[in-house]
Amino acid sequence: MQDPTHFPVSEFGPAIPGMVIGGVGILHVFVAQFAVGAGGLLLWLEHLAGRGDVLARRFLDGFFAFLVLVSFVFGALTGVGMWLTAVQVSAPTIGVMVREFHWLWATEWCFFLLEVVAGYLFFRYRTRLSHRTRVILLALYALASWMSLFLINGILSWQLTPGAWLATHSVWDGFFNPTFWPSLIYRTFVAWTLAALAALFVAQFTAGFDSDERRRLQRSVAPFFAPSALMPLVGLWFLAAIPADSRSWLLGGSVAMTMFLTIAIGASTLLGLYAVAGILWRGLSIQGATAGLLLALAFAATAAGEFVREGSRKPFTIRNVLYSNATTPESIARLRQSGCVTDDPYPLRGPVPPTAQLATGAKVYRRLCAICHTLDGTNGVLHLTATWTDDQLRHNVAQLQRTKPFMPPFAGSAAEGEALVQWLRWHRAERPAAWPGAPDDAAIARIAGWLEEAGTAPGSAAEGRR
Amino acid sequence: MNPLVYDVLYRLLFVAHAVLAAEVAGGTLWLALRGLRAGSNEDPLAGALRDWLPFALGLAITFGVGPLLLLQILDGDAFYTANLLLSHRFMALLPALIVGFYLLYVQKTKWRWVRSRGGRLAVPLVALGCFGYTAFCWSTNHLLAQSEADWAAVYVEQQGYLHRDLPFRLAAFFGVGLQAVAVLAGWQSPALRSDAAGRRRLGTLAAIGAAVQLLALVLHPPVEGVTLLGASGLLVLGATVAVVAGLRRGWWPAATIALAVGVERLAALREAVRVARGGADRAEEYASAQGFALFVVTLAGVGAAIAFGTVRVRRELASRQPRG
Repeated sequence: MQDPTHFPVSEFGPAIPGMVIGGVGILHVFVAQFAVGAGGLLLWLEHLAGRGDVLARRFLDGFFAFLVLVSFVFGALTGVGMWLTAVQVSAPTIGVMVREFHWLWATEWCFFLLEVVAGYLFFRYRTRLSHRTRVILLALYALASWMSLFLINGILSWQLTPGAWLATHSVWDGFFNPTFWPSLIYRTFVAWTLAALAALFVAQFTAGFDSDERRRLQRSVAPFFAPSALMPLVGLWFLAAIPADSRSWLLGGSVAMTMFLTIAIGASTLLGLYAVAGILWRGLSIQGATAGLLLALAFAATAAGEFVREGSRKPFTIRNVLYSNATTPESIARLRQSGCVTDDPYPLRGPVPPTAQLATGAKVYRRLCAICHTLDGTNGVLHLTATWTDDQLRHNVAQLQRTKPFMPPFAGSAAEGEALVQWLRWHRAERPAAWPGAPDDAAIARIAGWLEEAGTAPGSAAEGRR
Repeated sequence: MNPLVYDVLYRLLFVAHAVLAAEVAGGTLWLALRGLRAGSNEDPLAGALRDWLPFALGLAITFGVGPLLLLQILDGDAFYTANLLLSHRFMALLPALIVGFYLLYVQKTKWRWVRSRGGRLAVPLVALGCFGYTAFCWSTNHLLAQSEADWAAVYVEQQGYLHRDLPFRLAAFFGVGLQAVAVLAGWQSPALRSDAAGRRRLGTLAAIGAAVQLLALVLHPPVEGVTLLGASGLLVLGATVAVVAGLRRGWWPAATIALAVGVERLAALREAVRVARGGADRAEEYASAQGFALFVVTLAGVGAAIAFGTVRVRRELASRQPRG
């Protein structure tokens, strides 16, 4: 793979790249999981139709049009969007994933093709087909959509828990990793819940159904809420399977991650209680506004859950393989000798800083920090370091993995560390036209000592207790 | 596994994607031009296009994912770099495609405004803008990936990128598009190919597309190390003639094969240009990746399932046709 120094770095103004991929990812996951669940739900409704439920048949035909318009267009293209956004955020990460899993991605593509063809065949000819043929097409669609979830889940969960793959590099060890099964089962339950919620919502706003028919439709789709009662157990299974440090961040170590986890659990609990106890058990009848509110809760749960899943990987994008800033653990020692921006071919954008050291500092920031930070926007480094003295800056940069456990080790030379410090100081001073240009050799030596002391391994609680 | 598998798959999937994407672009262009004409807009070709373009685009996107994956294997670093350099200008193709896709469905509705003269022009025109922008983005990305000398300047200036080959690539794409419309519309609507006037019309449409495509090839700036009008170029010429002749005579399978051959040779030229400009081919590095057998088995199974489903639907529809 190309040295990540040679990839240009995209900037997103006041937003961090994680927000961009998070935003696209949340939209895609929400719609895609709905599509997966809808496959099963539609098959169930057709089964009811075969037993004489005319209402189920009427609703199913209209609901499939909704599925096509949402999933085949928005779902498919946001899926492509995920890929392109992931390149913007971390091209090396995608490169490693493609290297390891491209045949599984190609297999997933086969199921996309089946999904599209079976889906369009049903969509176009559904009113003219026999019940048996409709069942066949819907079964093919449902199988294909679930298999695409099965395959992508293995690849994505590998990022957090590569498991035995780290030793064997077997694609099957990587695919069937420690969080594969809990995340697959959890996502399947989410998919069914989303599909049922969407069906309730659509039924409220589809012309041609009176209130009694809408109540009957509710009862028909309600069984798909039942598995959501098991989601807390599966969630606990997932928590138990993730690495201990990731778990500690979700349970208080990182206030942002803890907050997102709380939102995910809270929204899911409210939704699950209403769906299982209210709709499934008590048979409560809901109106359009309630259905919309439940969908909004589901969206909030999905959004928060995706932030948790992404954030719990820190400081890695692929655990023990690639840090968030596209540095590999094996390369850190080398980069501390050679420098991380020595061969960077991309000039700085905008006004050139007044000294060569400041220009180096800007490049170091771009290369190592800009993936997760902005300068003075979201997660802005100027805000985070505003009260640090100069030596605190030097010490905390050199021992980054001890400053925060979800930070990677500093992957540059001591001189680059000092350049970064000077660049931050220059910004704090509001970028004066003149700035001392001569490097402070004593400061660089101190940084070198701190780098040596911290080592190149990621931060750990055991290290802290030494 | 033989690394050539990557190249073969890339070409096959790219041809399928290119034909379908070109049909969508060409079909939308034709509908927009049709919308400029006064009088009734109802004719079999317009009806067939409005009916089938959403499915064609869905398939085009699906087939496009294949080359997207395989290009990352062949020359991922250059592809990623071009993506990063173009940034939001490139990413904007996604909302453009979403809007264009939905407009194809809007075209199928019975909404009064859509069926009005203004709607018949505006809807395909905006959709054409969306698909044209998408084609522009992908072609720009592909050309920028081959232009390493320009990378640093593009990064600093943040003004996007215009390569001198771009107009010719886009012209060739739309030229293929008009041929694809003529060929595929005949398959999608048998009424179109069943009478001589219809075949002549489709043949004329294909001839216009062929002329545009050939002009683009002839006028294309020279590329060092690649003979654009060599064996592949001559095959492209022969294929376009065969497409037009096949359509006029009603030899639809022959015209379809000629279209596929012509697009495959254009794709081969495109790939030759990429390699001549320093593009990598890292297939050998990836050839030991696991999972190929699973892919082959799944592809066969999915192919069988699609064939089974399609044949079953066709038989059922045929059995429900009134007899006599």
